[in-house]
Amino acid sequence: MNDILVLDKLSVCDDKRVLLKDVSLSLKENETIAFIGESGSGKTITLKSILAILPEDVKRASGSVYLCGEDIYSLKNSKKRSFLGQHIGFVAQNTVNYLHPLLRISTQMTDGYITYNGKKSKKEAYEKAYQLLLSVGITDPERVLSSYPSQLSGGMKQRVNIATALMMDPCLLLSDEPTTALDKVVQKQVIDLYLSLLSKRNISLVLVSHDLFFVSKIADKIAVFYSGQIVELGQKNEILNTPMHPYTKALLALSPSMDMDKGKPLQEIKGYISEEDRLRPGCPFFSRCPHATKKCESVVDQVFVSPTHSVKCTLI
Amino acid sequence: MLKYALKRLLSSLAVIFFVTLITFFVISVIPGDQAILALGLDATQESLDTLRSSLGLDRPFVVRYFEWLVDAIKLNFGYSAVYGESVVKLIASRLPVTFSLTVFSILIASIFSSLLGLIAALNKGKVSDGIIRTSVLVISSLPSFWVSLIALIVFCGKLNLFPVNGYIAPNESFFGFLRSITLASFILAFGELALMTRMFRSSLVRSLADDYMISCDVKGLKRSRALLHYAARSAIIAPITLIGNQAAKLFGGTVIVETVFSLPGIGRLLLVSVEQHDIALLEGVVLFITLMVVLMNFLTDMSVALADPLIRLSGGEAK
Repeated sequence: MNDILVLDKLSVCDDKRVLLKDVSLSLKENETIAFIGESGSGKTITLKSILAILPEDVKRASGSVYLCGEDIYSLKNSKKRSFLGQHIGFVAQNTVNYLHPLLRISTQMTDGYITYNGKKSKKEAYEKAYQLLLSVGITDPERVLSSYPSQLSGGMKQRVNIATALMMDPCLLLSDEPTTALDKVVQKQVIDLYLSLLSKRNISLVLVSHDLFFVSKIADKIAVFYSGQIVELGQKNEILNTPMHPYTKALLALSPSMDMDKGKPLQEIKGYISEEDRLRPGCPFFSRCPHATKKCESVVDQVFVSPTHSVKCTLI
Repeated sequence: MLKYALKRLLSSLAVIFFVTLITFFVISVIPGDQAILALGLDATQESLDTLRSSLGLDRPFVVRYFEWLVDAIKLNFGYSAVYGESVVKLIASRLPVTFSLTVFSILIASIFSSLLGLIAALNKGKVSDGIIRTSVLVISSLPSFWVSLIALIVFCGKLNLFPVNGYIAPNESFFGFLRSITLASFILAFGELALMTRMFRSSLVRSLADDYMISCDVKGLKRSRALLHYAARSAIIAPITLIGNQAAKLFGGTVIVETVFSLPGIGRLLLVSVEQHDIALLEGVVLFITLMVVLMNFLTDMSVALADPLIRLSGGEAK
């Protein structure tokens, strides 16, 4: 099986800070990887650097991104756009702003397709958009296609974005927190939608999510982000059943369950990601880790627990 | 859209009504007696009274106003004391000059400012952005009477490219007409350049930073389509409003350039009517300018509604 996505020691920084440090991972055809970790840990920046759509003041410092074997940072802008347009789908976190408020959904869904299939494909593109909207669970595609974004609900915009991302039958879909800001009912629908998409299509998925339930249902692999690094990477079962990194353990212990003691306060990881932690040559989790030793302050080792399961921690 | 247009039309009528009321009131309370002006300071009280009653000045303000309004609706504004011609005829004869000056200068300003604004926005923060922003500011800051005189000396005197003065009607000679108003139009356009370029630039910069530009990249749209169809789409709305307002302003505000280039436009008519206390003419011209401003605002609102479907859909309610 071919690698659809490879990140090779990717580092990204802005004027002052290192935002991503030595992020490496690979994803094969039809695989799903989930990025988990607290806000500000570098999940979204990783997605954006995969697409080379980083904000102006943020730059790739070193490392490479290969999409379907193509070194995305070696492509010229116009070539990069056409590559992304034809092979990659992206569903952004804030779907509201990713749709143009003054253009009809039909225009916004079909213009990528028409760009690559010629002006004559207009009807075909509309038909495809129609079918895709049906497949993402929209019952009246005609109305949605002729609407402006402000006439649609949040859940509908989310679906429109997913359908738009699928217009060119991409081999890789990147999805940034697709269930955030949706109510429980719609969340459930979106989760089901992704599951059915994956079962019907030849598509790899990179998913950013805070929703561990969603992740446990959908992911093959999980990457745990902390302070701009992947502190633990492995198959879903390895991460969820035998977490090795103290941060992963703490993160998994946090999710509340139905049978927990109602009198007890919810658990938390004390402290926050400090600036010193970001710059430390050693473990970034040092100042919050309950097991930290003197050694952790200056050194961090990458340990392979199994061929697929790696942890950045000196204590193992 | 139709409902929106009707709503705007009704509020326009209200504006026109109040502007005429206010002008009429102001003109009737400012010092300067028409009868004395006409007959001179040494006229007898009797002759003054006779003239006043024949002009209707002895009747109450409200009666005079409504009489004037009824006449105005019938397009009868009386006769100008200075020119001895009907006010409607005078305005109609001056209209082509002002109209073509306004249209040409707004066209020139729009073309230049949109191009400059686009270049500046695409090169935000770079040298070319700075050069464009500074130079349009300098150009617009030059006083128009001075630029007009310099232009007259250079282009009409030295280079002999344009006629020194006078207006040639388009039905006499279209080329001559263009030559007679080109210079003045450019100078009027220069005055608008800074404001309009700045507006184009800032609204483009804003829409270029919007997230939907990222979706354009990810969808693989060509840069030209992303710029023209997505960024420009939302960036055009604020400049449309500005262009409309500036055009409305030019309908009554071209007097300096008209004077320097000896173009017989509405601006000079207004100036003469104020100087000579030509009340009928003044009232007519003010009403005409009001009409033009209201019309331009109406057209602007309609264009914005055309460009912004959300206004159309909401029937013009605040967004």
